[in-house]
Amino acid sequence: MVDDETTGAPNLIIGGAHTLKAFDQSLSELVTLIVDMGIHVSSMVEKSVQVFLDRDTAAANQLIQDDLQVDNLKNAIISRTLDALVRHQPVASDLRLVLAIEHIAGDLERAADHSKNIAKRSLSLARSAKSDSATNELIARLHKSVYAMFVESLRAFREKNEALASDIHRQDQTTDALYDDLFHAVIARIQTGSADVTGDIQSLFVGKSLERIGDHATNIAEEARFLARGDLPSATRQG
Amino acid sequence: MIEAATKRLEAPIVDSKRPILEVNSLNAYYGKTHAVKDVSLEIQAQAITAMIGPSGCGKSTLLRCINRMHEVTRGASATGQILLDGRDLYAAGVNVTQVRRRVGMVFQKPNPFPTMSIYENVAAGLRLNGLHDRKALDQRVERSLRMAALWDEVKDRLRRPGAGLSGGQQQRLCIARALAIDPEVLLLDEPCSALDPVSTSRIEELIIELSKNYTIVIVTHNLQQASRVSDYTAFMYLGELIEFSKTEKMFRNPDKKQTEDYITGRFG
Repeated sequence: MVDDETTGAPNLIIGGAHTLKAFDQSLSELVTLIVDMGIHVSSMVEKSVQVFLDRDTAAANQLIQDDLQVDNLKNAIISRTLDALVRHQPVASDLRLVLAIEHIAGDLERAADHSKNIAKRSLSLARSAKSDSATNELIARLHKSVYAMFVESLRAFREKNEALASDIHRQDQTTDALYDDLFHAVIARIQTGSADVTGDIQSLFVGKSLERIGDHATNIAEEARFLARGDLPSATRQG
Repeated sequence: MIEAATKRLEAPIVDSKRPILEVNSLNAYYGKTHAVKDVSLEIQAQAITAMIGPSGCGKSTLLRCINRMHEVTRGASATGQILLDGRDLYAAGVNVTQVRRRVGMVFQKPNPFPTMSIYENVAAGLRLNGLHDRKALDQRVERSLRMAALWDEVKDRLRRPGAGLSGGQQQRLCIARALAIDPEVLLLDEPCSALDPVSTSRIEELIIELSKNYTIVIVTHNLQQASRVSDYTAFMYLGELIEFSKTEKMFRNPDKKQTEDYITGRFG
């Protein structure tokens, strides 16, 4: 879960109060919504893999429902972003905050979609035997890395923490390497005549979804950096 | 496709920096009141520089120093240097009329000469500068009105009073009047503050168009106007120049907290 520092979220608004209180209110609402969305999606990312590994049908259906709530939150954020831009024409740190929130809402929505897709895969495998334990172990390791990245990226955003954002950038390489390990292990199983090709392929898709969630965490970290520094990341990111 | 787009992105941004005006350690006073405090900055040629800051911050005073209008106020004085193309406008022996010919000014409230026709409003400055040939005057008046984007609206009523035009048209008439004597620099002191949004857009479009040939310095309270039209922005507070940078930098990520507080509406 996201740590308990979420009450510090209004600190995202750099500087003191605006002369126009309606502007402060508009920004505070956006910050509250994105923090809520972050907590909600973090919880989905956390639960997704266990749901898959356990073939937990009820929990999978719950994640599918949760995703609808995320879509609603995203729509609310986009609507309020437009409202803030139209009414207040924010500039400087206020503009960066509004843009960062809008971008992060997109990344969170995609991360929630991937979590939902992982859950859906458990539904299609519900009647089959559990996957190979070595494969599951690799998925669990990948999930641990991705989930840590995800939670930390949201913390980097809330704290406008550039150093943490850079760490997440580096951690993405580890995540990619873990996904490669999973990929090669599954391919090797299939090549040597796996008895559960369907399960193996589904495991591979779960791994890919996790790897993509890691990419979204990296995007969120880049938004944290943009918010803090005002400059865009260079186009050197791999994978 | 992607190669062409990348090539465009990588093309060097042409930044033909050439300062036409250099303000060095300028101090301006109204009696004992220190209105501009040790301000130094460079104004780039054929670019638009906006001056922003709260009322009383010294931006209009700085503007008025650039064409030596400041000293017209009783008790006003200034020290420091303002170089126009390398020559100090405040040096001994400088012809003040000549300075004001090279550095034109347009004020907040449109102020056409009330008893003069549209034509005479534009021609008056030319006559004062010794141009009396009818044909030459006609050409210069038409050229100035065209440059001020007013010609098509007034060409059939040039002999009517300038004061009969709308506020926006009057302001463009004042710009035409300033352009008639072919200045190098055009100073605009809140030129749109008395105008409606449509007239404001016309003036802003005109300013951008004029910056191809003239150096423009505009004082404005409208921050969106500064961000829309200017290439450079100077933020002044309590007589000091707090920050001076390219406009996109100023409105995306200013260096100084005071600038940030002012442009984001957190002042006072």
